[in-house]
Amino acid sequence: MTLAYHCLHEGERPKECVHCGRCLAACPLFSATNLEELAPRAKFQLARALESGAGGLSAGQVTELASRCLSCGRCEKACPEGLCAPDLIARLRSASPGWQALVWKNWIGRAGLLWPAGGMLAKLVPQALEKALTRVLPAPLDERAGLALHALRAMRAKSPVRPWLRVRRFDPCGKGTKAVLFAGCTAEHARPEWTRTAERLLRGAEYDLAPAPDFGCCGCTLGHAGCKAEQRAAQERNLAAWRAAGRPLLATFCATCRCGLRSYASVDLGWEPFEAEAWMKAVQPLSSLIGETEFSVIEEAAPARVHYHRPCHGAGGGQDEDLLRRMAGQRIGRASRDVCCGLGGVLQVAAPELGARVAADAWNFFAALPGEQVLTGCSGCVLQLASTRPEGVDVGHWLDAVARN
Amino acid sequence: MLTPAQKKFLASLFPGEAASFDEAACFVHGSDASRLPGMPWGVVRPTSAEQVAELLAWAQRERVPLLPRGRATGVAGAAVAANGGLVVSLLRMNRILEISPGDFLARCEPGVITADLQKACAAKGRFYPPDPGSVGISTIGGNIATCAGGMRAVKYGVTRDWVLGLTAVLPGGAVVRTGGRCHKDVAGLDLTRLLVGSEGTLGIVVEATLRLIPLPEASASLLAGFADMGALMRAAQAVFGGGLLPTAMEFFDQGTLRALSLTAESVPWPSGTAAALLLRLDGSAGAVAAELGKLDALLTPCAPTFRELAPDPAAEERLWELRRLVSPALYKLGPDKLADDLAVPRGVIAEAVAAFTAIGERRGVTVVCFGHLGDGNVHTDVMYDAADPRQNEAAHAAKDEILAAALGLGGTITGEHGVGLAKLPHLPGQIGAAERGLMRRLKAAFDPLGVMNPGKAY
Ligand SMILES: Cc1cc2nc3c(=O)[nH]c(=O)nc-3n(C[C@H](O)[C@H](O)[C@H](O)COP(=O)(O)OP(=O)(O)OC[C@H]3O[C@@H](n4cnc5c(N)ncnc54)[C@H](O)[C@@H]3O)c2cc1C
Ligand code: SF4
Ligand code: SF4
Repeated sequence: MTLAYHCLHEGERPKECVHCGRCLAACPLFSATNLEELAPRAKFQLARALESGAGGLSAGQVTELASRCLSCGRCEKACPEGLCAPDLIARLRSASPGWQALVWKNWIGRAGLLWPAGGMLAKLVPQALEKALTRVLPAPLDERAGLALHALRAMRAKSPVRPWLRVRRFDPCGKGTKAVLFAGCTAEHARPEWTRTAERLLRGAEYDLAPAPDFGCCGCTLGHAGCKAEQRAAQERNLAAWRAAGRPLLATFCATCRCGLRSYASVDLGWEPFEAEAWMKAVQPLSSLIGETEFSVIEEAAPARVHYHRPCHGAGGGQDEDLLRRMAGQRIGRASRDVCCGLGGVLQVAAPELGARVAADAWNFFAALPGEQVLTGCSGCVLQLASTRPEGVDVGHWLDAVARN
Repeated sequence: MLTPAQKKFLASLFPGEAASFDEAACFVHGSDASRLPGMPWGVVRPTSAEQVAELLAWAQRERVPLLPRGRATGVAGAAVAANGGLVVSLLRMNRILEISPGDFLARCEPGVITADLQKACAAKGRFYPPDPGSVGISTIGGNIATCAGGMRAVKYGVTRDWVLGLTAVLPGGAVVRTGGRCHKDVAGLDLTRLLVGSEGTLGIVVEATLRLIPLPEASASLLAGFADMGALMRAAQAVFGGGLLPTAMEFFDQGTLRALSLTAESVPWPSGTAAALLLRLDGSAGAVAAELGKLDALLTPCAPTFRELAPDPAAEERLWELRRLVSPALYKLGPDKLADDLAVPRGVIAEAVAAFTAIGERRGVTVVCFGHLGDGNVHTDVMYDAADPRQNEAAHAAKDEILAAALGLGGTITGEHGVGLAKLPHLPGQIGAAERGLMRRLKAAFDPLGVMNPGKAY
């Protein structure tokens, strides 16, 4: 069996790892542990060994070790060959569905919902989920299950961030353009208030906001978990819904969803001529759509300082940061550029303690004090940072900070 | 193979994830950037010199071969576990211990990434110049053990010129301290220089004292293209002839330019450019501005196809990132590489490059030349497809001929990467039996039972 583990967007010959080591410097998992076997280079080396039979390694061994990855995508940006570890791992997983992928499928199957929505499930039936988890995870992994559950619980309650920003004046830059909102799983199931705030902002900026079409999960996390068929189904469903809605502007407020949606363009989904380009143009971050809309700070509710966490996914989250800087003014503290929150999809189930070590690096960077906030623009990052936050520091989406007026 | 008792000892000296015997983890630690295969018996990750001393006492007692390892960016296979052994990963000994602006020195552990040390020094107005292409991804320990060179060698020399002292642990567990904090020191034999470049065959470096100089106030770079290598060589001579000593003088031949244009997001040269020269100057702001003008004036009569001046750090970074990209980018020209870092006397570089390129053409494989023009260190890589028997044979024949041609011109088979495993068969062509015998006797004085990185380097 040959594993095509490369993002083969072009060219004929699959690219190969040349062992140069550039990716080690980029990988947050390696930085947090100094374990070479967790670095991207190791993942490609292992996959290659599996293919060639070198080292006599088994598929199980390789998949288990190579799968320890946050799916942050930083290695792909650093690699001169353009190799992408999450792609490799997804293929390894779908080629040999080991226990991690099984857990994932079970989880999704049982919940009828998707990963970020697990928090919702934990709220409704915590014991049921706890049981479900301990049943699928081998016994010595109780502690891991505990950490994973902790992450879920972090999403249960209402957002701890009290609104401290109010729109003072809308920029009518929407000019009646037709738009729809892609809310994503977390907002849909656990944080409906994000959707409501986003809708208000878009209407205020004078977009012609149509009711949300029949969108489902973006499919990004499913793909990383190796559930290729399910990912494909999600992509097809969303594309059909967008077409049915008349191919409107598609506003997103989660960087991971946006990254997942944008990746459709490089998948053969039966695009019509120039339709993939139109799709790329349509998928836009909410923060870039509200123009020069002005905000005022509600002094009594505002934190002493607010830090911005830039998600790994998406086009870098630059627009969210710009907006937050504009909104928060002097209150802005540190803005991360290259620290990862450590969430990492399936890793949260397989080895949440690794994610927690990466998160510790992120918290060192923010050096946030009690009473301060960390805001971001990705549901996954909110989840992970909320479950690892130091006492007294609140974590939320920037939408949490915007009041109803 | 390690016995259960040996594993038990190691697991107690290196608790938890500090020791690993898992096959997959071992496999990952078996190779390096040479891509030669290897399968060690285990990996340990010390965090202190005391642990290393205990390990080396044990390894000598038990006759277990040790393979020190930094980031494994070495390209000669010096870190490859070709015959098993225990890998000692130094990545967790990564503390900067001291930066003394007054004594003009830094002390650090071996696992520090070289660029991180440079940044920390710069914050105190001090400069550690050695800058291999891998400066952001390789360790001080690895740089010392290979005596890494780099772009700035023209003006500042190589790693050995910047090491004042070392603390190393020898087989048996003895801790030796060589050199010290003095910038001049001639007491006794120069053990520091012996350890530098020893490719992990004498002992494990656990601490280094490095020489610093004041951070130059400014630097500027210039990239110029030429229609052929002849024009480029004339331009290089014009620069030195004009009395300038650039910090760095790198060149790219036609194949290198092609590989870069296939890899980088964008490249600055116009079509018709078959060779390029990348230069850097540093010093006080006034001097750099004046020298940049002079450099430009010296190059203009040499008919460049384009010139790009980079007067500020951001613009410079764009040019130098291209240089750092060369080594991996070359794989765009062929999936396999036979890499050589030959050096020849500086006066015969033009002749050498012409000879190497001609060998490639005659043999029908791609030979690219690039690198440190200013100090005579010409990277010469044969790019080929090992799966094709004809190319495979031709590539190896070309490599042998290239090495012979370099030696014929009074050169060396390795200017900075080291001998490791890859170059070992070629060493007798350069160094005589008497000298190699002396090297082995020196090794025996450090490592009588041969546990340190056996079968490598000399
Ligand atoms: C993209 C790229 C560009 C490069 N550019 C250059 C360049 O311009 N100039 C240049 O000289 N090299 C270059 N190299 C080669 C390589 O980066 C250097 O040889 C570097 O010094 C190796 O450092 P490392 O930490 O990766 O060491 P490793 O590869 O892990 O080890 C190299 C050798 O050092 C030994 N060693 C490591 N640590 C210790 C220690 N603490 N004590 C004793 N022995 C030890 C190992 O046993 C081995 O023999 C490049 C490599 C790449 C991939
Ligand atoms: S995706 Fe992120 S965590 Fe995974 S290997 Fe790449 S850099 Fe490391
Ligand atoms: S950067 Fe790419 S080619 Fe280099 S070691 Fe990492 S995966 Fe391999």
